[in-house]
Amino acid sequence: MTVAVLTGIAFVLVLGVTVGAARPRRSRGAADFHVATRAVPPWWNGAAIASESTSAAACLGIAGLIATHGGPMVWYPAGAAAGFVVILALVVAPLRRSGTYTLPDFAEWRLRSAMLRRLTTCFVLLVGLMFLVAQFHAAGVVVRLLTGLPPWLGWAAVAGAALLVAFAGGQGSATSGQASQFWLKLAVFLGVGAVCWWMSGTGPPPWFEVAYRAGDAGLAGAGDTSLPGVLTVLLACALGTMGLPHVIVRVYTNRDGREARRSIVATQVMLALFCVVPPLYGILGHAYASGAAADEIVLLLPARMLPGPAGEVMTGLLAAGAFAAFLATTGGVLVAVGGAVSSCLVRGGEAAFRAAVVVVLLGALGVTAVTGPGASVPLVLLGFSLSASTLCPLLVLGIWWRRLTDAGVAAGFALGGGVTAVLVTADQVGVKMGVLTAQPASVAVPVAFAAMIMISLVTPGRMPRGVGRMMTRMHLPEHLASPPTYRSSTPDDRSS
Amino acid sequence: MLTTACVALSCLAFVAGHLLARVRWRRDALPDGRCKDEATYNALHIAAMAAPALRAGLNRDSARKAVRHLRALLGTHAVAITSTEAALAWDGPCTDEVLTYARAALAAGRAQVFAGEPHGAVVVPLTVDGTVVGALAAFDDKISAGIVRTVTEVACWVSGQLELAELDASRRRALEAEMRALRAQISPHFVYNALTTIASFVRTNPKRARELLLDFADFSRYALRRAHDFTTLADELTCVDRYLLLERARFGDKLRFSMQVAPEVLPVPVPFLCLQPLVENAIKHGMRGRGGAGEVRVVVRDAGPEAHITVEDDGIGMDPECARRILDEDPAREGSGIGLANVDLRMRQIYGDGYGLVVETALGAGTKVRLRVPKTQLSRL
Amino acid sequence: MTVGGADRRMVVSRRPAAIAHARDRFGSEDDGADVPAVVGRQLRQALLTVGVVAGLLVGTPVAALWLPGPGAWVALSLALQGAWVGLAVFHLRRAERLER
Repeated sequence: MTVAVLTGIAFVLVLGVTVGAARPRRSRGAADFHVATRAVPPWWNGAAIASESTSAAACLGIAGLIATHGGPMVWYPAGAAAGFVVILALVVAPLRRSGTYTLPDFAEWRLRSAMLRRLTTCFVLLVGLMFLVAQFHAAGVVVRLLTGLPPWLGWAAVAGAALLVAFAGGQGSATSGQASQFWLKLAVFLGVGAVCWWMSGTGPPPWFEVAYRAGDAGLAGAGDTSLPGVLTVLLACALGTMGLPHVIVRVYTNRDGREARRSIVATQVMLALFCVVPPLYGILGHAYASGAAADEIVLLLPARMLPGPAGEVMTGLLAAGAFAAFLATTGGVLVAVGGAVSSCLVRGGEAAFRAAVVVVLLGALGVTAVTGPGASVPLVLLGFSLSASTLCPLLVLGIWWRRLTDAGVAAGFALGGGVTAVLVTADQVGVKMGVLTAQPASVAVPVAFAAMIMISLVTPGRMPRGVGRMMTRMHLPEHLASPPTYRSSTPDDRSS
Repeated sequence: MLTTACVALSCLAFVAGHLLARVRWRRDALPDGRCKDEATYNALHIAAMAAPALRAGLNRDSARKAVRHLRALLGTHAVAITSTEAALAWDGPCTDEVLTYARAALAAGRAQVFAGEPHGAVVVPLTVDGTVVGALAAFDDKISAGIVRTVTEVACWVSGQLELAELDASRRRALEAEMRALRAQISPHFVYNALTTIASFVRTNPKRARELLLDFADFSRYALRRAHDFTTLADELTCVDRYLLLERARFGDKLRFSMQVAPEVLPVPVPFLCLQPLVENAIKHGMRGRGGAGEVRVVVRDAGPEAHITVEDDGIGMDPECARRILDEDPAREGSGIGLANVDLRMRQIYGDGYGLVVETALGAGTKVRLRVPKTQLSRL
Repeated sequence: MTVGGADRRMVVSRRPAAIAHARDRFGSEDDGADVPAVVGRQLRQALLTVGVVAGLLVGTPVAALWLPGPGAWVALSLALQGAWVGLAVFHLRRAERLER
């Protein structure tokens, strides 16, 4: 099958791009020293963040949902993008200035508690696993649909490539690799989408149902078309983004809080560009590929609209773009979670990092094998919900509220995580309580915030020492918080 | 509606549970019955609460925190703490004469009792290492011998805490001094060689000489600064670049150098001058006996939660035993291996024993020095 | 990766010895800046931005109830993306001005 061959070629191509872009820059002479040691500019870091957060699993899934469930789903991309405004406003600069690399590091530093570090690592691991499993499932769907091969080949391909990138990623600039993948992805998705739109003549009637109605929702409220259902998903996305491990780790790449903020603004711009994609494919999919399952609509679209080789080429391109996205998200999550886990279990060591990466990957593959396919969007949403009800209160209160205590955070974790787990289980077992069980975030987020605040208030004695210094460090710009540091002048600065 | 109820209920449950736990704990700790135990417990408990503040040394802030507890401990009408110049803090209605009283006690150097209206006072000087640093004053209606004895004992205990605070501070100063001493210094040989090289250019190529002199100035400004113990990897690499410019001026094209850096780790904080001594060592040992010919390669990798740095040369290498001896050496001593041992010891002091230098070498096989730096270092933050 | 003769090298590191760890860093940094005031200003700005986000995020899907036609919904959702970008730039400028 031509498409299969094309897919394979495209996949290898993408892999080549990835590895090629990740080659280290080497400087030999004095002249290119400044090129070799140039910091990652905010634009590049922003593109890398956008690349890792526009997971193809979510993108393909949301386009499919728009096509099958109609209008209420068009708000989902807006919710995902709103998360970055919240990050920008509440989290990014103080977090960068705190100088901590991962969320567990932040928890241990801010509350001086090794126990909290382990708890935070657990939640980071859980959230990361959900993202990984979602990517694997989506990759499986792509492989099965386009080549007829068993889906586990897709999982294995993504897992293997991500493992290679994670092991070799340290060699060079992972950021430029991720950023170039974002541009590739954007070009492919927009390009193919534009061609399809153009092929449809003057444009298909953008018809789909635009009314909120009670509908059956998947796990974590995915595809719930009622107004409260949509609003809860938006809340979970807006608050949950800040807890995503791969986003938080990227903040460290910037030199200071100011540049970290600019990176997030850059991410925002690029996400806005990318967010044209889901409605575009959703509308086209509704018109031309109705009847297909939600996960498959985007992939089937070009072949349905353009029978013949042209359609196959475009399908191959889409597959390549999708795999670039799988790889970007999987690699980012894997490195971030592996780093968090390894520095929690054993202090340091490259062997520990690699072992952690392998264990996390095997765990994710195991869960993928156990769960059914087509769970991509719900899993991602569940990840957002869990992050919004555990890691988000830790970050927001930890950064802005002096009186937070470790007991408060532990209680918030227990309640937020516990409520989410109970409601999801209840929903799976068959106990339906409307929005409550379908949307765990609607209860878990306020409960977690309330518990953290209340328990912190009744345990004032557990406030860590030196909170004042931590606040100073997080909230004052670097040049005010510490005495002026020496910076070497570059040759261009000198008066000649 | 349901959500609100849920929130309220869970919060109530938590608060109730927490209060219950506290009550239980109190009861366990204080079995009802014997008052003697209770009094001892109370006294020790109050003292323990005052101790942390006093361990910060004698200042307005610590005095304010401690004085409440001291008044509870003494059970007098009012208590004040003064330094040698001013009243730092008081608790309870305090008379204006406190400073006059304190001056008298400070001058006398021992406990003084003053009868006055409406309150009498006991003022006991506080001493650290035999020097009077302040006074503890207690005011009460009637000054009995018992009160004088108690106040004297409490003052003695406070003095003890202040001495411990002084000890803490001096230990910290000692550590700081040790770190300062351990900081790598520019080797005198390098200064001499650099200046000679620059001098050789002054006539033949004044422009080059001027450039080099500026590089030298930049390098020494960085290496001689005293303000910080940490810098970013980017700045450290810039320092290495300046250093290499000077060495290359001396050795010419025979000295080859390459650098590979993952830009993600450039903002990582690293100990000041942890990299330049390694490069200097590679040039000094690797190129010796070969007229400065050879290649030095610096690779900085991003390894998740850590940054990994390697400095490698293709020079003559050394006997592993010799390398081990250099590393074991006391870095305070003048010697040829001062750079390596110094960096090794500082890395271990800052990050822990797992983060020492690792040297791979053999005779005639070049040398590779590996260095790991954690991105987050909690004790530093 | 390796320079000539690398495979013959032996790995050497310092012999395990009792080395005191540098605990607690030196001194506390007390600087003149009024931290609570700075935090308060930043927090007010952040809450303003988050409030606008919340308003738009809830308001737009609700307002869409009165808007007929799928075209309007899609246009509104894309406009929301533009609004996020605008809001982000606005917040960035305000936050940087507050820090100056």
